[in-house]
Amino acid sequence: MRAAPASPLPGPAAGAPLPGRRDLVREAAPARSARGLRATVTDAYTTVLQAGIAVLLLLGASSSLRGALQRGLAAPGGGPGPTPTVPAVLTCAGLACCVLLLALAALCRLGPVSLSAPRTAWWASLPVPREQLLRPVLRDRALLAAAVGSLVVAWAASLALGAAGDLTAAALPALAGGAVLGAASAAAGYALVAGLAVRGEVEALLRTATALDAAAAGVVLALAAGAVAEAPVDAVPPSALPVPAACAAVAAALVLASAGRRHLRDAGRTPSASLRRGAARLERLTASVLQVDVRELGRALAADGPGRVRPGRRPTGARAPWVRGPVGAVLTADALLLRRQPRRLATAAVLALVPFVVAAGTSAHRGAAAVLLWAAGYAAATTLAEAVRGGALAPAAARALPVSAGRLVAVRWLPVAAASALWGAVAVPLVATTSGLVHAGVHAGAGTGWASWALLGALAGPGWAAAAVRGALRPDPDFARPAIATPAGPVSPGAAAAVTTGPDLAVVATLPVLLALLGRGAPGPALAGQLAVTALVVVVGWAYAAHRARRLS
Amino acid sequence: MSAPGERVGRADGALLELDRLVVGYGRPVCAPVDVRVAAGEAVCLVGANGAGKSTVLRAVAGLLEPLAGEVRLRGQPVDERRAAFRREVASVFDEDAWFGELSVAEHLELVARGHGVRDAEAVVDAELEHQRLTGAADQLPVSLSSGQKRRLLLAAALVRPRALLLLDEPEQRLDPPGREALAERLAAERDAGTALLVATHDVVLLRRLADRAVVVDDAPAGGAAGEGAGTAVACRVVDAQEAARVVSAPVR
Repeated sequence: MRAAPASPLPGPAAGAPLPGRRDLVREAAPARSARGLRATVTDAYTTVLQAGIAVLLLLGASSSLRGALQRGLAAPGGGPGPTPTVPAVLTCAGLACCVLLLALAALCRLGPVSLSAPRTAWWASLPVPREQLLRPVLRDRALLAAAVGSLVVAWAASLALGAAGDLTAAALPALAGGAVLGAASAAAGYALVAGLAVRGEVEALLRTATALDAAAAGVVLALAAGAVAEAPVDAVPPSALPVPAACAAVAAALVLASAGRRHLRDAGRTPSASLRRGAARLERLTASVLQVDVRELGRALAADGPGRVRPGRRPTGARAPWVRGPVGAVLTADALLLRRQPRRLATAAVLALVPFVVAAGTSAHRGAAAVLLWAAGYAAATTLAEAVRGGALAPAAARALPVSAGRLVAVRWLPVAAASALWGAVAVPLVATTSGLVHAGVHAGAGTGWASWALLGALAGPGWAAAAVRGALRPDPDFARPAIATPAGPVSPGAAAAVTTGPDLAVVATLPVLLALLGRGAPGPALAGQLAVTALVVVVGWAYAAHRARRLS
Repeated sequence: MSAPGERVGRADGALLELDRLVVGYGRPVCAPVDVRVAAGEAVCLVGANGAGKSTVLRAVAGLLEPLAGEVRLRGQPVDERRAAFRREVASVFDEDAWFGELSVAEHLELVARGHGVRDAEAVVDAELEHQRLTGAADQLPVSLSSGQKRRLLLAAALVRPRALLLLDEPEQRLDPPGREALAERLAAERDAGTALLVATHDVVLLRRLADRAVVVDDAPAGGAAGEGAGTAVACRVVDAQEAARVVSAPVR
């Protein structure tokens, strides 16, 4: 017989009668999980109010953009080249469709339907019906999709109608119709993929997200092909839209009525493992959003699940006998990363077409086209600089190689710079062509040939790459610094600094492109200016990144 | 080109010098460490959890600024940013130290080739077999078990030339045969001329490997930033037997 312990152990003694906690929890759970009428009304009120404010803001921005477009129409490039057409209904519709597809893909990347991590930890182990817990989550996600859809389609409609000069009081029903169509389409789209989220099929969700991304890329490619072929797609009048829009809205309603109801009914069938996996994903995404950390948000959305485990994946053998020395090893490692994530190359390629498509479809002002080039150029360089971003998370990998921290940054910047130069050599002349700034033969002036514009873009590319490397190694947002009061509310300087570190340098790198577009040519001095600016940007970007790399290691 | 077993820069004197090294995060976490490690010598750091062993190792690896004192490699202050330091010092810490999108074999091979190892493919294959990772050669590191990850980190440190090995509890998560093999392997490393500084709780490893050991313990009385540490009594340096007794002693 064992002796009794000298001091009692913490917790209930073995064999002691438990106070019927499960029964108590079973009684309490429905009360905790139920959403009363008051909560539902509050949610609906908040959603409608916030959506209304967002619509007003977007319509204001739309009005400004519309003004820019009309100025662009009034002052086209002046010279041979594709003639700017009437701003495109189909182009706007295509771009709206593209954004909706990307939004749905992002919703798929939220993973299985789940609660927050603490609520999941509490509820997943308890014997309570999960339908009441998870139905509100499904509804919230569908509402989110609907809100995004209504905003995007209404904004696209306002752009198309307004740019065509039709934005009058009579157009308001069309805008409202667009909002309804967008909301219904997006909610129906989510209903179609929500089954995977309910069943907790993470891999299928991620495959669906990839397919939706590919579909969005396909839309951009189709628009670009139409613009290159100068297809008369922009001749579609706004009056031709109501019938197909009504049909689409009816189809969306039918989908919502069938698939949506079914998923709500099945909401409680999500397995516990999927609940926990979804909660972990959701927690990471929520934290990145709350911290205004777009870099972490990108990582979270791109992650293939907790820990990025890919069961059964076996990379093809890639022995590299040609590698000599640390520089070759780093370059090979980074190249293999891009080879295994081909979506990054595809994303960069599609981004090269976006400024062209928008400029061709809407006859956007050349300044607006330069802004698009800045955004797309920085985004493309960022996606190509994934190795640098990954290196910031695991600096020890590169530390194992005999290459100094500063040189390592330069080595990793090089391939990104080369790819960005190629990107710029394609994207910039495409935009210039659409703006009527590329002349050939007898019309050719100083720096108005395709080669001049391509050279200008190629020179800007390394600058975008340097900005992306700077952004990849920037510190996390610092919320410890006191907030600054602004007319738009308090702003955290630490968060703002984190968000703008990287894009700021890209702005500088894009300035010569902007000036060339406004000046309608890229002559020798413009090219020399771009070269000087890019050199400055590269030095600044490298110095910052090398400093950060040393601190990170 | 160099071979993986080749010892870079064997020195007759001390290769690594910790000169009244005080480490911590604002405040010292342990008493000053005063020890020298020559080529072909293994010194272990022992002490309770949280005593500061890993912090000392991170300072030696140049990853943490000392509060006071100095760490010198071949008489020069350590600077982990320099390529020369990275060429001579191989370290294994409790952190992910691999290229995430490369398989186990690819990572090891690139590390070996990055250091100019001749016949890197054969060297990597042999190390994979020694670490019992041959079956996992084509897997991504994230898909390995925790013990396999530890063996991958050890393999990455051993497929490249090195003059100094810094190991932070290398026995962690290894199974008993793995610990035995590790002790044998590190002893062979020491005998071949590599200097080792190893933080460990493993008695077998201590007895098999250590020439001396530093008992890392309480911080000296004093203020922040190492004030007062300069005159404090340094951590004891003991032999392997005494170190084993320290490791085996019950926690008070």
